[in-house]
Amino acid sequence: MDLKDLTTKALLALQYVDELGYKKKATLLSAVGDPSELFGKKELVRKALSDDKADEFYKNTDRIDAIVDELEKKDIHWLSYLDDEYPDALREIEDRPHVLFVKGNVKALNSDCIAIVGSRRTTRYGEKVADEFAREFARAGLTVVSGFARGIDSIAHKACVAIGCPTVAVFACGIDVIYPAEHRGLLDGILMNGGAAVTEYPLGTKPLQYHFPERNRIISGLSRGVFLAQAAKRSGSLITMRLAIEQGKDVFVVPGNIYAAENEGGNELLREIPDALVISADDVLDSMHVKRASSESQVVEINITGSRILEALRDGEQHFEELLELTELSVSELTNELFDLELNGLIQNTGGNYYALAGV
Amino acid sequence: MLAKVKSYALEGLKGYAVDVELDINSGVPGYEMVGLASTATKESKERVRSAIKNSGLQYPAKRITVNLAPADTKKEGPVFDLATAIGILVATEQIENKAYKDYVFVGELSLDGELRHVNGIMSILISAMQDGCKKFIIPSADAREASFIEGIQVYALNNLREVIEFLSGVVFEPVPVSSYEASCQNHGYGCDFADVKGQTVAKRALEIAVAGGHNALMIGPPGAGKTMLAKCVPTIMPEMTFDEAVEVTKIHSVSGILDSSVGIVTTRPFRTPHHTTTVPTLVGGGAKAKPGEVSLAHSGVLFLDEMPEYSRRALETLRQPLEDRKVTVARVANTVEYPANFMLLASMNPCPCGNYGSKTQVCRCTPAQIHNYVSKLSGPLMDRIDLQIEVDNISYSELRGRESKQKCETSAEIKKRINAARAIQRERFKNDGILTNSEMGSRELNKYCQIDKNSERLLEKAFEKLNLSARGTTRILKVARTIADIEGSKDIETAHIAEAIQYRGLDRKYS
Repeated sequence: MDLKDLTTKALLALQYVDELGYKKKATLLSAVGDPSELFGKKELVRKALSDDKADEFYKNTDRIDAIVDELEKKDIHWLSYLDDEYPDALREIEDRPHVLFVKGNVKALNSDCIAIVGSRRTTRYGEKVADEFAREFARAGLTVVSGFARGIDSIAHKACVAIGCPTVAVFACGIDVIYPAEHRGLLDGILMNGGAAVTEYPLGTKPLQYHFPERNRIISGLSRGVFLAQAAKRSGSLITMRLAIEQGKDVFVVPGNIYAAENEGGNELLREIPDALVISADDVLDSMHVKRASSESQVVEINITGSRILEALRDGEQHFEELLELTELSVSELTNELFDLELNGLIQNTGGNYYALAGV
Repeated sequence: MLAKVKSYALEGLKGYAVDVELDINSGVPGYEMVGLASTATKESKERVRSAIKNSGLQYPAKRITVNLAPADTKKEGPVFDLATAIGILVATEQIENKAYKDYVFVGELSLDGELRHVNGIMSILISAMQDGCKKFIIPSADAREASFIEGIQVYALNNLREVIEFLSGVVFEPVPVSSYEASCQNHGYGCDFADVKGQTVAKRALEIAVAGGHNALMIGPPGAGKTMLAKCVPTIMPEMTFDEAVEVTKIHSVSGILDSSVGIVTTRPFRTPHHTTTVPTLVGGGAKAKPGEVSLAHSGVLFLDEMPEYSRRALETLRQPLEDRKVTVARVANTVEYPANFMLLASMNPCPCGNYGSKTQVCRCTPAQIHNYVSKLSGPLMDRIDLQIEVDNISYSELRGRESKQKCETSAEIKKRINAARAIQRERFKNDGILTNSEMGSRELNKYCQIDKNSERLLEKAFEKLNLSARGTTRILKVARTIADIEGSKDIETAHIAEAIQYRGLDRKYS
């Protein structure tokens, strides 16, 4: 066994110690020159860790080949910070994870990434922002990184999957644990479109509450910039924003409706950091010096009724009944007109028989 | 002395001949009934004795044996009271005329000798007629129900006294045949689609659902008017043909819910079982293998308000009748089949608190709660629902801020279109053994739902752009076929497909 192999295996064994805090690991590793020395210096390990954690570490070293086998069998890549494939952006941050577990396309981690973060609980506004910005970022060639949670995170991932672009999901649990469970299909979509799921937690780790703030440093760490779509007061996404600032990343925030509690956190942040204000995806792309995707102009033929509907929707969303009165069509005729416009991507059904102009 | 009197018993919706055999012997006075009689049937002993005595006749102080033949089928209910009493009177020679042998006797006796109503008269008479029986004596309370059957002589009498007079030659008029068409007049519903302001999309969707017999689900927040819309659905249901009416009447009569003053069901049933309903009350069963709500809704509508509130077991049992359009109820000894060709109309809130997706209210449910709520409706069940209708809670006047100028169509106008669309379907399916578009199988789909290249392209595009599930294709085709029928178009056109796709809202909402 060569030295590098020993080193990475020592790191893996350490990473596999259940619920061992990052600081303890870091302290222990800083005490030795090369992680491979841990195998020999039992005294040192026992001093740095509690007894049972130390026992666990040595147990892990004994079964390290079984662990590696299991990872390989489940098609999970594992990267230590010494590996070339380890994402460069993440290597830069102070508390970089020692080992990453990756499912899917490892190269996605090393691409030019932007994080989209936000609350689990959203309003239609936040959903629209997350969806539109994610699409724009992905089209411009950025890889969207997010936390695979409900709400903004999943919307950002979904938007990328919908247009067939890679996206990176950072888990707060083991890579084989899907949380929340209803996102199983989403994960398949991510993996199929050249994206990846990544975490620092060993297989089978449960999504414990304190994992989420820890996981957030990876979200921001992987990315060049972090974009906040919507955050209520005390949203976890605000932690990601703080970490991003500490890590020296670009941060971007869109202003939100001041009357909705779902926007309070984001708006507060804007008051602190007015420079973070952006009002379009282009603002973000310009600021990150990314060339925006050339918007292919699509020629769609619209009849007179269609244009009247579009005109009416310019003032905001309209109910089916209002459009019915406006156009003086029969129900089935209007249904057809609206369907036509929707298929051509000009309008969208926003639920409850409301229609609005489609987001770009 | 021995006597044998003809009567009829019910098994499901079919009647079968039962010979009430009586033997009166000397010995210790007593009364024994054999032939698998149920409790209500056995208790006839007391009713028959009192009825005979109180009609001024002699009850023999002898040993009476009653056999209900065939002896191996379970006999339910008090329908044999009259036949038993006649048997006793014949055996004791209080009735000497042999005319009783030509008649089938059906009826329950009260202690004073009055004849009382029995359930299932129409089923009994129709089966007996098919068996070749011609003359019947039944309680006068059931005269209306019997009057719709042509080709038999039915005498509806008030009490045992009258029966004896009749048998001894006093002339009574048989029940005159009633006209079904005349009975169909003036049914008031108490509501009309013209009273429902706004909700044009929902109204149109319900029109389509009724026209094609499609199962439909209305989704909307509380107070949006789902129940009101549902209550108006009977007003646009197409007229029943006489044959349909007879079948529905049979079921309702057997269950004892028929209005005997009308005697026949003239409007399509609209059944609204409560959400605490049990499986046997929903699909049928219980000790007597009674028809359930799905059969009572035969030819009509089964409305499940707040569908996810029903027990999962109850909902899942709906799958089989929705597929086969009949239910088979198994009892210990035998199985009974009831027709259950109904249109399922259901309503639900979008989430437990009702505000998911609302513009004005905040939804307080967690994603898991919403998921659990919606997943109460399993995939296979949702697969049988053709139309998903979004109903929103913005009232029309609120929306406009003024009284509506728009004239709302009355139910009668909508019904006219539906009747026309149904006529087209009847004509189309006359050799296929089905009545409506919703019943089409894959063979009929291939035959009647061909679409051109343009429509096919549209469907593909819609699936791709609108996040539809591919499982919906056949339902979209069926609904498009119905829309084409309403418009009087021979072929399914692109516009029909486009409209049909609009009624797949749920696929998108919860994707």
